[in-house]
Order: sequence, then structure tokens, then C-alpha cells
Amino acid sequence: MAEMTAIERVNKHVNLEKPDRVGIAPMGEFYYASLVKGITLADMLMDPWKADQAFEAGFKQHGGFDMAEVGFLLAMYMNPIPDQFSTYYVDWHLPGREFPPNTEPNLNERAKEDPLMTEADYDLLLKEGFHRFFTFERAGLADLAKLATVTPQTADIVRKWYEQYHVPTMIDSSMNEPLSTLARLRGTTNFLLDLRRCPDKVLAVLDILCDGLIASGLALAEMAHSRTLILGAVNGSADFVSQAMFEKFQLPFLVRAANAAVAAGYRLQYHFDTDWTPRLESLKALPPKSGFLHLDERTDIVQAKKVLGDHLCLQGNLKPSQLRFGKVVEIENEVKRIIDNCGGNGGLIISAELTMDSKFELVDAMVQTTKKYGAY
Amino acid sequence: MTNLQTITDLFVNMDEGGTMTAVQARLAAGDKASAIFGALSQGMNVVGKKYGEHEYFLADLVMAAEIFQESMKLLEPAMLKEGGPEKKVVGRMVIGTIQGDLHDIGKNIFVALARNAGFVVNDLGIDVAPAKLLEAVKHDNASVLGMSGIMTMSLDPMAETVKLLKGAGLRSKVKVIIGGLPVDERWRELVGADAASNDAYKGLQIIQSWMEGK
Repeated sequence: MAEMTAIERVNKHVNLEKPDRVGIAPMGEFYYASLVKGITLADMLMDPWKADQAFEAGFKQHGGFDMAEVGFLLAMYMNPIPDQFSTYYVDWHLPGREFPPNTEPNLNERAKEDPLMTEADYDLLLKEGFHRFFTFERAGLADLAKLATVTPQTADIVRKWYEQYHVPTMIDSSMNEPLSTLARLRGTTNFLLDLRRCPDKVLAVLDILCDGLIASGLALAEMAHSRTLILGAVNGSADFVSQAMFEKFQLPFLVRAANAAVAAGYRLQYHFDTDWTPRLESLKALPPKSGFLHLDERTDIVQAKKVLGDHLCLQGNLKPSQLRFGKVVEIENEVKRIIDNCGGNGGLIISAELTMDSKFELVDAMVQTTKKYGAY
Repeated sequence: MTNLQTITDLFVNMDEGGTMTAVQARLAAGDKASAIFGALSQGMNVVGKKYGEHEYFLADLVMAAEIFQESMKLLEPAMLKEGGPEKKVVGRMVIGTIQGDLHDIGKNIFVALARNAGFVVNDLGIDVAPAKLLEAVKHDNASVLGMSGIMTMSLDPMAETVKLLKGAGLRSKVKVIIGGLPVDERWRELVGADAASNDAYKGLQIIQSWMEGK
């Protein structure tokens, strides 16, 4: 089969059709800083073009990927929407701010006694509506001022990758389901207690938050000329809550957010960390062929292919620790195992969440094995 | 009439209000606080087991720990008045989320389970430096050190802590367990720990087995 451009290849995978080979698109923006002298993690967080310079260096040194990771600043840390990723509202500790310049961002889950949002705030939110979430602010004026430059720069970078490199973006803005945001604002412990102590109130607030997140997510995506939005979910997985709780508190909102993004013409990266294996059947409620489901190593990707193979493209799921501590042959074998079991006739993009200490030769083994062994 | 088995059952069913009412009722009826404590502990064991069998989830462990702590606020004054034999100390543990890492939900659950099982736990919180862990191990004369972390960068300070233990001549006296969702046998080897677990209940079983062997 003739070699496809990355855009053609990813389109085929998302549509669950057979392209020329399995896709390769690792995640983990901060790994790329380690490949470029003079760029710190703090630099990447302050300047989208420096972040893009680092990514482009990694892209070239590994001989190209099938998706570009260009919009993480807007999707995450500089995101003005009161969602789970935004440093404006949630207690992320950042390099160059709370941490030294080369330490990876880290989420403070907040002690039970010290939540960003109190139990009494549920009533306030129900009374006053979505705009009240914007009061949970943690960023300073200097952080907020960056937004004015980050949004147009992200739009330029997205355009560059599509038009000059013919590479689609993996994430360039965000769409959010509300459960994860509420869990961050209340702190995980308090939130899990709330699910039992005041379930009706939680559900009503989730409903308000969901519509607000959809509206603001779509507005931001439009401003940044985004193509692909990250839709992340963690706290509804089988590591956290029962299937019944998931179906009540997360699934309806996930589906509502996904449908809204798809109706507006966006592709989604469903970013589902932790163990979703028992939830796979439920994920059929997400719109078919609407993007790619990024799984980490906690979810059984082979089972995911069996259950969702005719519904969603899969992205994953090598262990991040394997890409730091493993051996080349182990990486090669793991890539081959995933391709053998999940390659099928398309619908597979090999990936892993890289960290700043991932080893180049191990990442390269993942990339090159996918390109060679993954040919259809 | 509520009996002790009812307290265990209410606890296992995550009935917070029911458990608290039953604890108060049994205290008012003259039951020994230590006996009520036993009923709650039995319930906690059942909850831990159900979690290990994937019947219960983190949300259930968090709720169980909360009910247990609330109940203890009622029981502790009565237990002090009762006197009698002190609760047996199974072991002393120092624990913390390692330097550079702020994730602590799993650690907190592990701490709650360990305390219920009779461990005296000194929880140093999050972002804890290796030297601080060593200092606490020495101060508390701890027999177990727990370190938690979910980032690959967590491994280096964990390994450094084990090195400090060795340097202080304490390694043979202190068992080391590491925890966090991504930890595995390779992490354990690289850190030089005695055990690794990404499951709080299994972690508890490991440290209990260490104490049984003493």
C-alpha cells in the first residue's frame, strides 16, 4: 500500500478503516524538553512556541509521529475554563511557580480539611449557576495575562502542523465532563464522600457544570481554531467508584459533552487514565468513530479492542515506567503484542504517556517498531 | 434491638447514619466501648476484603474510613474510662508521599487500614524529603517505612531514602514498602524496597505478614 500522510492515516484509523500502517503518537509534552538544550519545563509552560520547538525537535529526532501534541497549554494549564486541568481553578503545582523549573506539574489532591470548594458551596452553585465556578481562582494576574497570547499562538501552531507538515493534532483544546472538575475542587476524598452523603445535590451541580463546560469549551476551541479536543475522565473509573455510581454521576455527562463536541465538528481524544476495563461496554454510549480512546496500562487494551473495536479507535498503552526503566527488546515485544492483538484492520494508534525522564532509545524503539511491524 | 453484629452489618453496608446511631445506642445500653470497637474493626476487615475482591471501590474505602473515624470520636473517651488492656500495637510505621509528588489518596487509605489493624502510623503527608523520612524512622523507632508516588520521577527519591536507611545502619531493622498505581516489581528492585503494591488492602496484608514473622 502506498505511504499515506499522517492526516490520511489518522483519518482512516478514526474511521476504523485500514490505512498503510498502525499509527504512532506518544503523549507527554515534557519529554521533548529533555531533547532540546536550553528549554526548561517552565519555559514550555510560559511560551507555546518554545513548547512547539521542543516537540518539533522530538518529532524530527524520532523520524516523525502521526499526531502533533501542540495545544497542551491551552487544553490544560492556561485554560481559562473552570475545569479539571486549569491551573486557574485547580491546585496544580507548576515548574517555575511552585516547583523548580524542571519539575513536572503535579496535582495537589487537597487534604480533606482544606478543599478549594466547601460543602456549603454546593448550595451557592445551585442558586447562582455556572458563573459561580469562576470564583474558585488560584492563578495570579500574570498567569491570566498569558491567556491573551496563548490562544492565537495555539491557533498558529495548529495551522502549521496541518498545513506545513500534514500532521493532525492530538490535542489542541479541551472539552470536559463535570465529575472530574468537581472532584478536583472538592478534593478526591470529600467528593467521594459527597457521592454518598448528598448525591442529589452533587447530581444537580454536575448538571449545571456540564452545560457550562460545554459552552465555554466550544467557545475556547473556536477561538483557538482547534480541531481535536481532549475529554478526560479519571474519577469514574473502576479504581474509584462502582459501576452504578459511574452510570449515575459520570456516564450521562460524558456522553452529553462528547455529543456536543462532535456536533460542533470536533474530533475527541478520550483520555481515560486508570482502569476502565469493567466500563468498556458502557463506553459504547460515546459517539462512534468520534476520535480515539487513549488508555494507560491499567486498562486491558486487548479487551478494549474486543469490546470497542467496531466503535472507537484505540490509543495506547505502553507503561510510562517501561519507557524509563525497561529494555529495548521489552518495548519491541510489547508493541508487537499490542499490534498483534489490537491492530486488526485499523483503529489503533500506539502511544504512551512519556515523562521528562523517558529514555530516548526506548521511546525510539516504540516508534520504529510500530512503523516497521505495524505495516498492513 | 441493635446488637454488635448489627453494627458490623451497618458499617459494611456503608450506612453512616445507621452505624453512628447504633454505636451511640450500644454505648447508652452499657456495652463496653472496646466491644463496639471490635465490631467496627470486624466491619473494616470485611470492607477491606471486599475491596480486594473488586466488590468495593475506593469510594467505599473512603466512606468506611470516615465512619470508622467518626465512631472513634464517640468510643475513645469511653475506652479511656474503661481502662483495661491497651490496644495491642502491631507495629510502628512511618509513611509519606515522596518528594516531588503530591498524590495522596491511596496513601491515606493505606494509613486508615493500617491504623485499624493496630499499626501506629506517623503520616508525614505529601512531598516528603528522604532525610525527613529517615529522621522520623529513627525518632519513632519504626519497623516499617512506606513511600508512595505515582510519577516515574518518584523513584529516585525513594531509592535515595533506602540508601539513607542503609547509611544509617537501619536497613536490616526496617522493612520498606512502596505504593502507588504504577509501582511494580521493577520499581521495587530499583528502589531496593522489600515490597511494592498498588492496592492498599494487599499492602496491608504484606506489612501484617512482616509483623507476624517478627
